Amino acid sequence: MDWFDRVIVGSGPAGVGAARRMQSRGTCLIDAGDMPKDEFPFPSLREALNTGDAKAVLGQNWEMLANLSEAGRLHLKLRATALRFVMQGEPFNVCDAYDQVLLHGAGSHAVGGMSNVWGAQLLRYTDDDLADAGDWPFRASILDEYYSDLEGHIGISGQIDDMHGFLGGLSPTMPPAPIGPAAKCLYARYLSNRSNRISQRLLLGRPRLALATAPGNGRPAHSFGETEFFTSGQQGLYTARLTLEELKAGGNITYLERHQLLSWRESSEYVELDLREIDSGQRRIVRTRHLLLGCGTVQTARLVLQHYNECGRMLPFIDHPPALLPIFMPSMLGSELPERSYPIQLVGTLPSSGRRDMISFYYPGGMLWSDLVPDVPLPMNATIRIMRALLGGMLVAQIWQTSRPSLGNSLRLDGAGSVMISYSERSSCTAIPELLRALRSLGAYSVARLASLSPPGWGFHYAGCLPMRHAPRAYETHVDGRLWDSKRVRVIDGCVMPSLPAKNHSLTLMANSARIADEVMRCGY
Amino acid sequence: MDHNTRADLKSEAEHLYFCLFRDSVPPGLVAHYLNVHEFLAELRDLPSEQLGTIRIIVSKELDASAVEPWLRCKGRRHALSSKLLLVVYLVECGGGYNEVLRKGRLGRGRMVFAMSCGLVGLLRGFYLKVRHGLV
Repeated sequence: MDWFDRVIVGSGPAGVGAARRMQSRGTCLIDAGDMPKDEFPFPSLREALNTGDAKAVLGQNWEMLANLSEAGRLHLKLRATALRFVMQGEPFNVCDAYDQVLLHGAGSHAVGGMSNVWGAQLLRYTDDDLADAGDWPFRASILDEYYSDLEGHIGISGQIDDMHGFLGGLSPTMPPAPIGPAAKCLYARYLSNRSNRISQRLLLGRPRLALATAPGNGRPAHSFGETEFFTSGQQGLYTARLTLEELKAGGNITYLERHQLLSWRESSEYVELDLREIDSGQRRIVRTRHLLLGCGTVQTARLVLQHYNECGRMLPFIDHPPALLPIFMPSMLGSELPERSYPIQLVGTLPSSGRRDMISFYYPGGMLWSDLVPDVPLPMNATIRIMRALLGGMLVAQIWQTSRPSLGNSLRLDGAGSVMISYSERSSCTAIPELLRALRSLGAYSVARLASLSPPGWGFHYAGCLPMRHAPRAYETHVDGRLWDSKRVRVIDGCVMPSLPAKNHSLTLMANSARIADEVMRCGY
Repeated sequence: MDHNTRADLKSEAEHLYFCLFRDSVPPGLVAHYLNVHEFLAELRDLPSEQLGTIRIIVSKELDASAVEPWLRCKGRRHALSSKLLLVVYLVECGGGYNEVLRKGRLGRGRMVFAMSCGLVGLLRGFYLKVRHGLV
């Protein structure tokens, strides 16, 4: 029987965030360890398209055509052969109020978890964010030292600009990622119009990305080859897998790969884990003083409910389904398109709204243009001919709003022990009219009718099932991450977040798990 | 797929490609078109009335690209939308039309002209849909 001082389950952002703070051979990180079965063999999308080999781009089994008959069947970032490994864990469904399935999902068994497909925006929560979202048991400033440590470890590109106060954080260590013609024009007009009070309605700035725009931290610069929808292994793009590889290489943790946690038993002296080796099916017992669950919100919630044998019990469930709005700048239509790009171009917020909405402006030209063709209300032959000109003057605004727990949105286990997520209540995107007004003054236009709301479950910013409280009740967690009735079992992933500010929670996941890891190291038992 | 079905699909590919690009279909694309239909079950399990629409469009050499917008639906796509989109994907990823899709300059004037042609196409498509009872 193996014995460790501390066991972390999950190698996603939360797991590696904790592992970095508990580096020793007595710390064991366990994960299912799925790796990509295929690699995208091209350094850029353009090179791939230039080969003329349709199967090399679309997959040997035409995997990239997953949405051919049904738009939105599979998230665009999960279609490619080299990315299918990311969500191969236990399945779950997200259903609406009428029990119609909105999303067939699965937990991540991947090394690095969902960070394999994240957009790499790593943002701090501020005290204002947490106060606005509500129910957090501490101020964001408690996480400052952890944010700084992680930002130094990861390397953040960006710049100090009008969004600095909203985004929070250190001065970025690398220059911002390059932007395309529409974003350049929009930003230039914003800068020249600030004296006309535009900044009272809209703040714009460059994004903060875990993307190396220059070599550093022992990592090469990103190539901006537009392969985000085809592979996770882009050099210069940080994912949790990089930290895990560094910890393994340094011998700073014990890594138990290809194992799945089935259950645990807690005594006064230790926690005993029942593991299954995935490839052989063999069972393995491990004992530890402390168990940290970082499997991702859905999988951690499933494990906890199974542990307490609670079928049917509903836990709160929060997601961040964004609204998408195409924006057009007529003066930029027909512009020369960049040879290389990264999707996220600009970020913004609406300061006069009283809310803390987060808007990311994306350049859609660095993906398969065929993905965009059905969304243009013209015959396809016309759309194909104008697409290149259209993309020169086009951005897509992805609008994130604060998400709070709601009675109609819950996670439970059904009779067979499968995860069922009901998501019947979602607020409409109230930011669109204000955003349209602000953009019009900068020569960018759209109409609200073109906006689409992503279905619940598509934000993949899951949180809230076991929220942190100062005095937790059943199915809540202490501020130090412990389950309400446990001494030695803690939750370190998005489950513990009581609400979701509009910004993505990736960096806060890591910082909070690091904070909880420090609590473990300090607890004295 | 039996020979008859393969011949139907070959005719489909040829006609849909012509509607999109006003040119003869590259042979490699036909092979891929057939191969996708072998792999994707959803393309073999299409509503019969939609398949009937496609047969009419192919046999009467109607402008599929013009008709298709009037058959678009949310959620599960119309068979014609799926098959036209398939040709678009195969062309883009097969590198066969890089010159049109990704290179070259399209000034604003030509873009407006292309959009205008698209709007005219929409009107023609509506007429064809009604005239031939396409569903």
